[in-house]
Amino acid sequence: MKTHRIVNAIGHIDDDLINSATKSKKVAKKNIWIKWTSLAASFAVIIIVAAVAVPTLFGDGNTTLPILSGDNTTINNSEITGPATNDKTTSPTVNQDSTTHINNAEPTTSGGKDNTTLQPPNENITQPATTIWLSADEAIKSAENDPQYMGVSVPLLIAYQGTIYGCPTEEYNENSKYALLENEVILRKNYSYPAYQVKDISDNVAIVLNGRLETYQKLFEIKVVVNGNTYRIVQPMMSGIDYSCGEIIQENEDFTVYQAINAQNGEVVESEYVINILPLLKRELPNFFNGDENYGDAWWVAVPQ
Amino acid sequence: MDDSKIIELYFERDDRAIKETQIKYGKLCHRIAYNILNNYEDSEECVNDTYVGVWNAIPPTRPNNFMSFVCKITRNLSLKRLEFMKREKRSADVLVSIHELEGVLPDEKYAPDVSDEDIGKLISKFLYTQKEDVRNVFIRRYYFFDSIREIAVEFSFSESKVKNMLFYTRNKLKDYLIKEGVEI
Repeated sequence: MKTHRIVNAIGHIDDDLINSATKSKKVAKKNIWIKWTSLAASFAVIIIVAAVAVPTLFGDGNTTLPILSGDNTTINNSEITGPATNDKTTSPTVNQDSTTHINNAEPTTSGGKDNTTLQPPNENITQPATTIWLSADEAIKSAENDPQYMGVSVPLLIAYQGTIYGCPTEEYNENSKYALLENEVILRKNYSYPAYQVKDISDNVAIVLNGRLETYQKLFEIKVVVNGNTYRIVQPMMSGIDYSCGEIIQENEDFTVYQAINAQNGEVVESEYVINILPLLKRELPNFFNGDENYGDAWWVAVPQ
Repeated sequence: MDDSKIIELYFERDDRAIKETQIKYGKLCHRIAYNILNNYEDSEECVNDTYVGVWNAIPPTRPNNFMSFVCKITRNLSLKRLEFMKREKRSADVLVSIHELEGVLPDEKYAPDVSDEDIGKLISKFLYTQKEDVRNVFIRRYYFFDSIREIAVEFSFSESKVKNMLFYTRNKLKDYLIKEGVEI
């Protein structure tokens, strides 16, 4: 039988070729995000230097910049990320209160819906577990000893702390630094991956997959309120593997909430829900799902916050 | 744990060998099995059978490349199970992948004296002459049975680029096999 022969013949290819394909490297694209971030940072430095220098040279010398005068609102609302330093008088620090920061953000969607909070792309919600910054190679190497990170399909979207991140890229330069975050990214039930914050790019989360550092940009936060309790998305739902859908609990223009059913025993999973965010994706990322109404990445699992 | 140490555990008939194999290559095996069977429970069973297969094969075998050794066992077991389960449970992705190669690889009736192993060697030889990304995309598609979309995401290519790469590689492979005397 021809089919049998084809699979057998391909099965005899060299071990080295199989190894190489498993560890294959992506073709790196030019990192537009880093380029613009660098440009914005340079511009900010020029503004600050000019603001300090001009009054000193031409003014009465008593002018104080808001950022140096203890104006906490200015500091908290700024997009400021970097290695943690406790010297708030001289340099901004990582925002310690991530929840407040999220809640203070202005939703970008129209209508101001209660159940969905969409974030502008420059919000910082993450706090590194340590302030040890690793290079990309070091971060990859730290995961390399555990080849469970090999052979995993790179997802288009991931969830971290109730926020959806997307568009994986392996776009980093040699100077990029990564700090381990407190929580892990879950790609499937019982399959979680250490997450890294990218230095100076606060709305990105990176994970190591297949020996590469995949960086995801923040897209939006999704909160679901059922019976007065708030739930947040924690992992993708692979239909029929870990979870199945039960009855519809709630439906709005952004997403549909279903009962979570344990795919193995068919029982309802208490306090967890399956969420389909296809309408939200279609609106916010119209080119992302390519018109596929059964788009797999639209399905997520939410747990109590 | 290093592969050579795991292999030593097998030679010592130490149960930890299976556990270490599971930790190191369990996900990879599961992915291969799931790509073929498209069913969680069957994939799990195939992966468990893989551990038994490795346990039975080592010793006496001492694989030079433990990862691909394990992958091959998973792949073979999954394909056997797929055959067993017949059409109604076949994974569409696998069938599409195989169908793509039907016009490229020889049928037994046309090339009865060429063994599958010989064709595999010729394919390897051909792939070594191709660019790294081309051959990796080919192997991802036809060895690991990854979908076009998965490959596109993994390699940062568009889906149409992946399709084109596979199309041209298949055609080149066909020409190569004909040139090597394999009747298609």
